[in-house]
Amino acid sequence: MPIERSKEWWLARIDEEPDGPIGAGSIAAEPGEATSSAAAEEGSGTTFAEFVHLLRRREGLSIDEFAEAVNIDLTEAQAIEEDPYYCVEGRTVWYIARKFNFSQAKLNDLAGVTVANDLDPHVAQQRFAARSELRGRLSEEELDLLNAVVRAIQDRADRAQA
Amino acid sequence: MTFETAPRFLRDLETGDVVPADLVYGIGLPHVMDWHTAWQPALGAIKAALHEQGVPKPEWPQTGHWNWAAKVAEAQDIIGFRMFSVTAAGMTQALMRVDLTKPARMEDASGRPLVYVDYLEVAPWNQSFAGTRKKYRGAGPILLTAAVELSIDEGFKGRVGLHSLPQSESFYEKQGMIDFGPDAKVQNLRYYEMTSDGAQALLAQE
Repeated sequence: MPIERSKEWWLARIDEEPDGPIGAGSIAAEPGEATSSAAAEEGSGTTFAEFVHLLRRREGLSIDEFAEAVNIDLTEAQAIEEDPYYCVEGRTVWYIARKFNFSQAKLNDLAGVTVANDLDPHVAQQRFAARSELRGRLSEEELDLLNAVVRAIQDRADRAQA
Repeated sequence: MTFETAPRFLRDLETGDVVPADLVYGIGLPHVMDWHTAWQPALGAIKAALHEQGVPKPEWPQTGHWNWAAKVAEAQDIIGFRMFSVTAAGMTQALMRVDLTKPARMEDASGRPLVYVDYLEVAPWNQSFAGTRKKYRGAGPILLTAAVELSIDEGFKGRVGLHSLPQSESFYEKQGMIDFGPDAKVQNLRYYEMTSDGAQALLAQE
């Protein structure tokens, strides 16, 4: 049952709101989203954004250097890692695959990862949020995750060729 | 589906005018569409601007990954959830989902039910980042008051709990909520609780 209050009462209430953002709730990945360990085990549930992030850091590249290396705009490189709603173009996937010597089969799998990223854009964004500017060494957990993804891509490519 | 509404107000900070608004007792497809078609691009523009200005990531919007379509779909299958929207000027200005199954932590009400604010988010243009001015002020208090009202309606005596985003802590403290400190189970966000006395004070007539 809505409370009955005067307009003045409500104005006093709304003017209490500070200038900063107002929000509440868990900022973690939601239930059902991949966790780092699950992704490492399955090699799936890892988004294209995460994959690129890990790949870049494994190579010791800054975002600028990565963009230059794969011949894409800096803004696009930033968007891939930081914007969960960014739709990666096939051309970009191809550039990345070419730069890092992925086979055509792997390229196809990368494109598959891209589709998953588009379909489930919010997955684990914060897992690497605020760290995407880093170029430091990967932790063991991050390296395991990257290797698991690469293995999964290779396995699928091998199965496709069998 | 049509939801009940109650008249509320927002303050347009550009003009200083009072703008009529509605508290909507639900989140429907139009609200989800607003989130998708208007909130997300606005959020992207804010993030791009913050990046350009070199604003540290901890000061960026922290709710960009929230998927309200999924939250609404999930809530429709579970009895213990309730949802609210604030609309004004033909647009969804804020969204909230609450959970009625969580217990209170306050010592004298420990274990008793409360309205737990699962998620509360205001539209990106109603948030202020790195010196930008928000468009409308007031959606936060409208939704917090709605949570208190619901708590009273449910017989929970106005008890409300929530985990505050770091940038919002001062707001909840000013509303009289008790700070239980960082919660290691929820990304170390500070947990706040509104007591029944606090609720009475919040809803007190002028």
